[in-house]
Amino acid sequence: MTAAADLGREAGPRDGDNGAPASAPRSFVLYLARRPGLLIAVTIVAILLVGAILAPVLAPFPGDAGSDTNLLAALLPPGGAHAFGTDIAGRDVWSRVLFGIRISVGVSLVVIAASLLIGVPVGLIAGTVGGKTDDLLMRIVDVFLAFPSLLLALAITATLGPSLEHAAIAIAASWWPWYARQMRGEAAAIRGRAYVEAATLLGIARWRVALRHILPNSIGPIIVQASLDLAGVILTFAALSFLGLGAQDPTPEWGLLVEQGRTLTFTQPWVALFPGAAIMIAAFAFTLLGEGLRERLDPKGQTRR
Amino acid sequence: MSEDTPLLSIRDLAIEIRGRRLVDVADLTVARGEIVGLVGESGAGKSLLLSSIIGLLPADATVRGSITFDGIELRGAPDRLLRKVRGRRIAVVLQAARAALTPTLRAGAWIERALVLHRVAAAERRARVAHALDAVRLDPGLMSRYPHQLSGGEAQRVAVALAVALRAELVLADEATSALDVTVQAEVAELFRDLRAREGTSFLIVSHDLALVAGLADRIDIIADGSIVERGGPSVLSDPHHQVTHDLVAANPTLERVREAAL
Amino acid sequence: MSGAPIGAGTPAAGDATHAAAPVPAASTPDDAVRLVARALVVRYPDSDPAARPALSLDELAIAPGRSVALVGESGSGKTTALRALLGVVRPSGGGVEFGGVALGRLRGDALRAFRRAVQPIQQDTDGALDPRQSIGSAIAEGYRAGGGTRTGSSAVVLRLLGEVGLQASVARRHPHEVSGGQRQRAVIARALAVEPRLLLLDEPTSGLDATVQVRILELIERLRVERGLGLLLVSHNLGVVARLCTETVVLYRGEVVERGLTRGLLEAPRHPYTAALRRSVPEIGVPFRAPLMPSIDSARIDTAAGCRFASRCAYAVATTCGANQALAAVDGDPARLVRCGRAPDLGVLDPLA
Repeated sequence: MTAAADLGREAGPRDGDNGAPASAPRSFVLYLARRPGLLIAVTIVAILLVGAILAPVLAPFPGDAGSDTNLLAALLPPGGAHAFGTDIAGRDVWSRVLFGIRISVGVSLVVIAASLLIGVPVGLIAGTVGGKTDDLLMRIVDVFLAFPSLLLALAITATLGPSLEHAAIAIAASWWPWYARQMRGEAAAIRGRAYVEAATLLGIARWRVALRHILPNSIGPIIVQASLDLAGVILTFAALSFLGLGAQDPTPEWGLLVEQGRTLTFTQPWVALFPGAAIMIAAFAFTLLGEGLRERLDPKGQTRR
Repeated sequence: MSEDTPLLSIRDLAIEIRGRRLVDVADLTVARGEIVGLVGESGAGKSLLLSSIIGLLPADATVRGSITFDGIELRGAPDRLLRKVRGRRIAVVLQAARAALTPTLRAGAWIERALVLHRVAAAERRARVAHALDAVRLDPGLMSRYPHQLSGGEAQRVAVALAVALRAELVLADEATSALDVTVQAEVAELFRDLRAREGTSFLIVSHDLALVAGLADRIDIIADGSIVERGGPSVLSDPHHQVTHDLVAANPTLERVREAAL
Repeated sequence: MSGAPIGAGTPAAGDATHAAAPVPAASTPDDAVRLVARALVVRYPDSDPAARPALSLDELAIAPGRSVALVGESGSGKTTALRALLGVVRPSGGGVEFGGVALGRLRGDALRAFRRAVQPIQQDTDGALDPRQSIGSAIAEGYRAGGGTRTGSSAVVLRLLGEVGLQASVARRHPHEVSGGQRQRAVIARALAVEPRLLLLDEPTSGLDATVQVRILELIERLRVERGLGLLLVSHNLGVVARLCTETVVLYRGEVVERGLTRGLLEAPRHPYTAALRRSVPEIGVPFRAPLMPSIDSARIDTAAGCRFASRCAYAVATTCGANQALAAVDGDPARLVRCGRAPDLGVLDPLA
């Protein structure tokens, strides 16, 4: 049999292989069209992104997101120049909510990114190297995990003093061990795969095998988890601000805005309602996004929620 | 030995998926007590054909033609009817036998449950199971094992034992021995022959292993690109007429030819 | 002592032709890449120390130009032997040497040299390639691991693809987009990219169509000759082995029961297990032969002492077979060894009876 005959015969995948290879849909839009949940999520996230970037342009009262106040316009109901009304200091709620995207969502993203940057390498090293290194690293992780995340965050902000930055540090500190633990599990599972062993047996250095083979194949569920967690972080930030331990006035963090409207719930509900709704919508969108990503990145369902 | 009407009769079967005609078989029959081998390369359509008999084709497949089992038309039959035939009168044994068994049930419980589902009376079940285990020469002690505790060959035999317990008249074997050691393959082949002799079970065996089928089947059908190109007794392999058959035989390793090559 | 010297007796199919094989210019001498297992014993962790080990191998040598087969059923220890030779499984006793140096002692450059010189071809075509990596990229990675430069890699990838019979377009595809046979060829190409001297193949054709199997075996044989490789082939099928290997070692439950030139073993087996294995290989034109013995899984009794095969052996006799059997030469040929106390009586066994 000549090589040419070989090539002719071995043309394609076998019949009876489980269906066609996972071919990408013809276009992204068609893909989304079949998944209404993901479509909604992507739309909302896109809107949030636009809002965050173009806030100075879109907000009719950009100054209200800072320390400008206008007591004459205090507590105006929604309507006219103020689509969402004004708060107790006369600031336009719509503008504040808009700028709040940068804080509530933006900083949350930073926190998640930081948690990943710490947790993933720790988990990767532990899962790849195994042995005593694994034990040591996981013991450290366990110590952090022993504290309920909110309590840990509370303790840290209480110690360092309330501010947006400290809240961010506190949340990142309590969040990264989850990624470390999850990454370690994924990495340990992938480590035993034949292609990882094959790469090692080719003489490729262990760290290179870890980065080129183990990491790409185990990061999928982590990304899904991160997306779901984004919703959680947004809520945690809001909670901390609500308790006075996070962002401080005049920073337009949504949780803080809700707190500022708390006492006015029955008299001037719009002050708390709109930021509250924003929190909910953002959390909802990122949760849906995570679930949507799960189909592509974590088909075997290794994410926690 | 076989009755006049064949047990399984396929006529003018055409299976298309997304506009491509993948199976085009004018005629294929299996008589009672007959072992028929269906051989061909991957992608020739063997597995599709087998799936169509029990009505388990992908949703986007269109089927035309007739598949008659003991006089009953299976093609296009309602699910209700197919369920009576599938598993009970027509048994399927697959390549990954362990995967066919329920991982959370012990082998004995799995067989028992299947018998219950097919409405075999309690009094009769025990007798049938005992008979089946004996027929497939399976150690009854293995009945308390979970599938992951069984070897490939043992799992295969459990699947066949169920077919016997259900008194299946036709066994469809899709690469049933491909994943097994040669010694275990030989045993399973022997088992099939034995069942045919003792119970009169018919077999339709799909395999890419010509030599295995040659030793086992009464009749061999060679399928290429969805159609049967040649058919005959085992001698059809020793003396092939069609080019495809010839190529298949030429490509199969045999020890005799290795010896010849060395001279 | 070591197995049969190459060239002794009639050449069987697949015998190496030494002089003709082109060898890369800067290659190391054959002795430096000789892989030898001596008195190798492997026990599974947590196993009963009093029980027999999973593998006990007196001697096994692989060197360029030699092609050795390890044959046996599941549980024979053949895969364990291969993995011990790769250094992936740590021996409980005895050891493996590469170029005269114990595997456990190899470090740094010497270890890398070992990894390059000895390449495995595993049976799991589905898992042997990173699903996220294109085939071309996987081969290129192998090339760079062997010391190749990034700039040269695309040309090398194309050359290797051609050498294993794959079209250039396969380089862009991912493992799930090609057939099992193509995947196996890709795995071979990747192994070749480091310019190995020895290939250790573990059931390289299992799961593939019969026709594809033959082509893969032909490819391996061609590569062996063209590159002057040494081969270790692990398989449960004597038919596969016969094409490629001059010598065969038959394992049963961790012990060598027969070894010698492949041709001799196939035509004139001396151990009942070898005969039974031979008999189990189906052949076109040869009438069906019922198996002589129950297959290994339905007969799991492990006798404490004596011949391990006795419980399945058609020729077993309580007196002789109750004692532990030693590996002994037969027919005055020091390279032809059989572990059977009854061998002198039984003579040549006819598997086709």
